[in-house]
Amino acid sequence: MTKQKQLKSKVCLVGDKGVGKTSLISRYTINMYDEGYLTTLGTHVTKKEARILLPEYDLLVDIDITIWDIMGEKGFRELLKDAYFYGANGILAVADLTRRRTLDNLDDWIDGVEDVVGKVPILIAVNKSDLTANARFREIDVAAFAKAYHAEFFFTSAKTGERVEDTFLRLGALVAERQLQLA
Amino acid sequence: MVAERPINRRKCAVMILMAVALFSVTAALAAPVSADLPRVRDNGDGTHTVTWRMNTTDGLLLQGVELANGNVTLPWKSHNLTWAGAAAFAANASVASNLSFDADGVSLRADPRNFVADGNFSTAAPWSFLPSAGGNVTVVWENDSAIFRHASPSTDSLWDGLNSTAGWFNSPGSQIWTNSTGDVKEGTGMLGLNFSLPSSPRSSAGALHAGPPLNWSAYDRLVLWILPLNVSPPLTFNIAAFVGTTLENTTEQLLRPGWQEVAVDLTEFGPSRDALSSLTLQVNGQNVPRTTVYFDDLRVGNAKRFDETARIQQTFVKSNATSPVAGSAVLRFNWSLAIASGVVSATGFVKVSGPSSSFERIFTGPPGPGWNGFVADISPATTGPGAYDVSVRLEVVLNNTSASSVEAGIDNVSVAFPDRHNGTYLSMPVSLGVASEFFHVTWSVALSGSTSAQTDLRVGNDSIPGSATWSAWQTWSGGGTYLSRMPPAAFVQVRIDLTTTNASRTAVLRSMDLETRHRAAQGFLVSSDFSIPEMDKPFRWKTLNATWIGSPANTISFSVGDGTYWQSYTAGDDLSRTVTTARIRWNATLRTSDGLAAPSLESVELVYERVPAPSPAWWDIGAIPYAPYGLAALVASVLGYAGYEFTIRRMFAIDDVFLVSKEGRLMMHNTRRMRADRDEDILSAMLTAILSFLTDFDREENGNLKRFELGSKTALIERGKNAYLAAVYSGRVPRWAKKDLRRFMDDLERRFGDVFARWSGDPGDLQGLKEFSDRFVSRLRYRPARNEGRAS
Repeated sequence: MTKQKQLKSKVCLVGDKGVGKTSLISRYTINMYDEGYLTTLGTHVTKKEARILLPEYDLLVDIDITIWDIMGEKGFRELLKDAYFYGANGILAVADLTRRRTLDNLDDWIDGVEDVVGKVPILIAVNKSDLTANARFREIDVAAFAKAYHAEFFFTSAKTGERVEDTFLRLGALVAERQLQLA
Repeated sequence: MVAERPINRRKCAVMILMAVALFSVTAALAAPVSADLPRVRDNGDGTHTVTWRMNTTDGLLLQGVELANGNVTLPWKSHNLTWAGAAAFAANASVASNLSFDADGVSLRADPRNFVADGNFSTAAPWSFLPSAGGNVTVVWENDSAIFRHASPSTDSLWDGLNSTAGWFNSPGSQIWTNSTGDVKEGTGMLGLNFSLPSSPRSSAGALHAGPPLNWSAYDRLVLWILPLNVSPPLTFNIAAFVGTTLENTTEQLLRPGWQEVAVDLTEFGPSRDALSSLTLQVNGQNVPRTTVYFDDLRVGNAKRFDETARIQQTFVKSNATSPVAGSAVLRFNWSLAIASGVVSATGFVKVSGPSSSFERIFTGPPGPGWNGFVADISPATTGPGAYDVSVRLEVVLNNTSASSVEAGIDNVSVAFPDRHNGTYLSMPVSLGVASEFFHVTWSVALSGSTSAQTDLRVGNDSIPGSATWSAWQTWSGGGTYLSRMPPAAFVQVRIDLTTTNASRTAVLRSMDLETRHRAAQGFLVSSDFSIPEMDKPFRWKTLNATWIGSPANTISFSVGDGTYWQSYTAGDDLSRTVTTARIRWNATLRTSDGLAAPSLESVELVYERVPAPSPAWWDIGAIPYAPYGLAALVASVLGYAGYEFTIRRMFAIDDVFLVSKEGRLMMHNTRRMRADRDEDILSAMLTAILSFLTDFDREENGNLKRFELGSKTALIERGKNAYLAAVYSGRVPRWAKKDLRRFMDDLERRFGDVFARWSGDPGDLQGLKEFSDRFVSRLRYRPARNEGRAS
């Protein structure tokens, strides 16, 4: 008989300005707050409830994920990273397929979070997959980057919804597994 | 909003920012949304019904739900069960007989043993190295291989280099000369014989050696080099000489184009060769136009003659009988023949012999450079158990006078009995999470001759395969994509039978992809705002009604609000006491625990009614019956109000208590109200963000926000080691409330501190916390807990 469990998790969404972090969240959750809040505080919290099956634990997890969408300005990261990244259970690092620099800069974002919370599950979302004609890097580049962080990656499109839910559910599963291991 | 400490200019900026943030939240929740729907119907009894129908997305925000035939329902979700590679099959296996799981896929397991000990010759010990009986062919262990060798020097010597014509004469009709311009084989020249031969009869021309008889009794072989310029028509060569008075001829040898070394057996002149005279190098033919044959490097000596064999050998024991069918036993080794010159032949043989039969074969075909591979099926010769000899030998045949050498190598000898048998794979029952429909299944199977694969699937609704809920097996042969005819179910089991009629061959199963789908577990929709027309006139919301169908596994829950809060209801609930605003919106959450059945929401109705206008104005006293009583009531009201004001300043209530982990995850929320009217998790996280923002804004001050006020509410904040408390009060908050909150926090730390410190996020770890907090929420003054143990 599959067991059930509840979990609460905190996930930080990081990446350069304009890569589509907030759009991804809007695709995945009901957005309760407007951009004014973002520009004031530098973060934006939303929540998603998800049900995740972890076959290896024979466990069905109802997980409440609070998603902290950190503003893409570097200054905010430096100023507030201790406060906002503290206690994060996972990282969703977002790059823009049409801008190579956004992939390169994920180094700093991920290191910034890991400086505060140590090693936590990382998932890389390469957003704007609907704009392949304007792609500035290839899947092999993402694979090499992800391998360095032992991370998985998805190509997503907040515009079409492609693989958005898969991305959050996979991150939820990774985070849930990690929390269960630590418990 | 008021902070406890004096505020400097920088602090003012922070407060303003925070106010803007909080105001933004409120504004966002109150923001109007475009409203193409709903429709309003006057019911004729003073009530109006506002109806949203689900035949358009206008005025609705859909999240994880879809419109279908005028209803909102949960969409189908594809969920393929894909096992790519052997690891996935291995991870789900319950039975795997005779199978191996490796990088290539799932295959029939082979016995990997090499029955030959030390077949790669890393040591010499298991092998016997046996040289030939005459000692002319040896075999040794060298450089991690077995090396066969023969080497012998030339046994002839120069008798006449034929550098001049001295001592030689031409036969009639021919002439001789020496030539030093060509490719001479020895010395400075070669002897040329120019001749022609008539068409009939067959005749010969030659170069005759004059002088005293030759004593060649010590030699049995003559060797010289011959270059015919034309061999058409054919020419032969032999030697003629008088033995006593008898002219004797050796056997004629056909000449080939180009230089060739010709050996002549002098024993053909008989046993006595001590007086050979008129020795003639003779060319024979018929109808030969004038041409030249050159001779050079004439040597005599004694031929080396032997036929000897060296061998390596070892014995292995095979304990089980195996099949005579091809592939049941395989012999392999590598061989090289680096050198083979001056020999008649160098031939390799391999032999495996056992109790009842044996296998033997020549392996030295035309050698390639370096090592050559040899593979042979020895199944019929090795069926029985017992001791078997495996041997490799090299036979060298020599019959010449020149220098000779042979070198051959043997390495990596193996005899394997793969002995593959039919195998079966059976998976555990694999849960799909919820009941699902099945479509196509794709099997990737590689077959070779003599092999086959049968793939089977069955499905069920419990984890006990074969129980009443399970279907019969559906079966396919080999790889490909097939349509599944299995009924919907929540579990699936996989069975694969790999068979072979060749014990060395196997089918390889690489992947399985089973296409399934089920309904999404949950979805959500939100309506646009609806505002009651002429909202300045009195009204009252009455009920929320919904029309939907579904199975017992389906639910739809509703919430209603005005943009600043959400209040949960079920269909048919009375709204009159809790919803007072004229502008209203609703949301509905559709859920199913059955992957095949989804609720279908057809419509949502909100009913309101107009209520009578208020009583006439107080100054129209003549219109009020019993005016003196009314006046008295008014006075009583004023006095009552004054009393209320006096009392309310001394009364207060705790509306909400939030216990939040330091990183912002809500651990507990206790409220005096019936239901929370907003998402506490988001509220807690945002409150944490605001507090963190303020702390980071001015690190030098190292200050923390301890209190803020918003409208008639006051929030006090108290921090613990791993969590903080936020208590929201209505009314005037007495000074001792702060102290009570600190005591409560201390009690929480004392009782639950260990749990807080290692909390993984599981609310189940915090049992008893809510009940513990009731004493704080429900009482006027907080009394610390006594004699209560720590939570574990």
